[in-house]
Amino acid sequence: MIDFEEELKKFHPLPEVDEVEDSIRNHDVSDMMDVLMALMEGRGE
Amino acid sequence: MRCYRCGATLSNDDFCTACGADVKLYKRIVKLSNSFYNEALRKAKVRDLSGAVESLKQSLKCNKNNVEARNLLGLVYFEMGETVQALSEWIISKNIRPKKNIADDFMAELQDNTGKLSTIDQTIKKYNQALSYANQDSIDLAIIQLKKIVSMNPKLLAAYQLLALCYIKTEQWDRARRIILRAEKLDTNNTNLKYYLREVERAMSERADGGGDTRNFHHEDAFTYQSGNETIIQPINERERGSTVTVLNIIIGLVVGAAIMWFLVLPARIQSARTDTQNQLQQTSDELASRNADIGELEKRVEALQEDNDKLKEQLSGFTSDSGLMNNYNYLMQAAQRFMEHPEDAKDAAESLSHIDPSSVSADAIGVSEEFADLYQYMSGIVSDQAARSLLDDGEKKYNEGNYSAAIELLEDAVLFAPASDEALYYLAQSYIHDDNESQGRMLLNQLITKFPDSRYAQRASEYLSSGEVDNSAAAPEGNIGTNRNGEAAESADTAESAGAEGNGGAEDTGTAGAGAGAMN
Repeated sequence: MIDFEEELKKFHPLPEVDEVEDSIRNHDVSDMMDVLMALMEGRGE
Repeated sequence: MRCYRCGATLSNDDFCTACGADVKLYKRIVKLSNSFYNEALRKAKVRDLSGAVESLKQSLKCNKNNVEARNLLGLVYFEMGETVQALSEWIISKNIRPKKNIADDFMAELQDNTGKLSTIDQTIKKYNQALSYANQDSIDLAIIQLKKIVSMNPKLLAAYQLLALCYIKTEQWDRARRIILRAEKLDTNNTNLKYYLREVERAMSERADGGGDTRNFHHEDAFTYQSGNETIIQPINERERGSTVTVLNIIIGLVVGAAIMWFLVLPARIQSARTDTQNQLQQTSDELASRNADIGELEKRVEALQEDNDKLKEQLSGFTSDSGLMNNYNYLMQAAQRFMEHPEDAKDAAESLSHIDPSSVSADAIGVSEEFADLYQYMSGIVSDQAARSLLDDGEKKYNEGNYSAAIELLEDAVLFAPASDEALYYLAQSYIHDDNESQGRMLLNQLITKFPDSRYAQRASEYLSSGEVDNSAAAPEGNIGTNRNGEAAESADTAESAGAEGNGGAEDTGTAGAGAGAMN
């Protein structure tokens, strides 16, 4: 049986249109390439 | 593909020919990112939006500079109604590749349609409000809000999911199922939706079976088939009943309908008709009362006018009747004319005056002018005196001739014109005595003695009454009859006749010659 309270926790408020800047600023843009670069730089050192 | 260190174009070798950097792992990561992108593209083509989002996120985790993956992720977000996330992805994509980026077109199309963007923003705010309601356990308010949202923005997948969850919370299984099926048309492989649908169908089957096994619903009471991406569960119809049962149901329905009409509809209609009738009756009664009041008032006015009319008629008749004022005027004018034509014979003028009622020509009488009253008094004084004098002369002449009956007739008129004339009264009495009517003669003599005790005729009357000796002396006219209705009249008469006769003692009498003239007629 569905637990309403638990299911409700999965829903989050959607960002509004005037919050686009905040959304972009908080966007996590790191990727595996960044990790690779860090590893490569660490090995080089 | 370019080197991550120097940006030079890479060859098939595992190192950069420009800077010598090892690009083997780098190439594998880029290929992995592209692989995720391809997978997401396939999922998006079959509207597996949530699956596409997951693949694209993996692709971008591998290579954040995968512009195609980022643009597609924005497009999928936009298709799921999450416009702000879509804009974020497109803006980042634009930042990575400023030129020749399809994200420009996406954003331009959205920005050009400001109405659509405003609607999207409103629905997002409403969704957040509905989520707040749901967290506050105001499920009904949340449902109302979410129903508005899905009608305004049918792409907002999160709203469908939350609405389905609210329906499930309130055990509106049919509605929850319909919403879930609608949402699955947007996102065919959404895990949450499938989870909700399974629970809803399980609850529905339990309700149908009274808590029995759910498999009965699927395999015995329902017929399930696949239509495209949708699973249609159609309950198996019950066995058709016989025609007798159908007819019986129709009859029962008719009876129930008739009962409803009889007990619910007809009383209301009858009551409404009664109310209308009572209102009309009341209105008619009011109008009738108003009309009756008007009629009563008009009748009173008619009575008042009738009274005025009667008064006016009475006044008119007072003027135009035989004894009316107009006739009095006519007779007075006639008397004046006759007197002016024959001043020596006033009998005709007296006859005219005799038609006038003296009481109707007094100065106090209504409609009688002062001039008319003065003229009447003047005429009656002159005419009465002259008429009486003439009658007395004629009567005495007849008396001397022995024609006593004629004398009586003339002297009666003379007495009437001149009631203050002792001479006329005396010879009238003697005429009666000579005409063998002694009792009448004696009565008149007694009257003479009473009225004129100092008159010489009274002395002669006393002698007769005492001795019984008849007076056979001839009558001698005295010239002045002595009628003195008023002093002026008598004086005028004396002047007019200028008979030079001696004055008579009865001059102080105020008898009305007019009355005598009236009696003559």
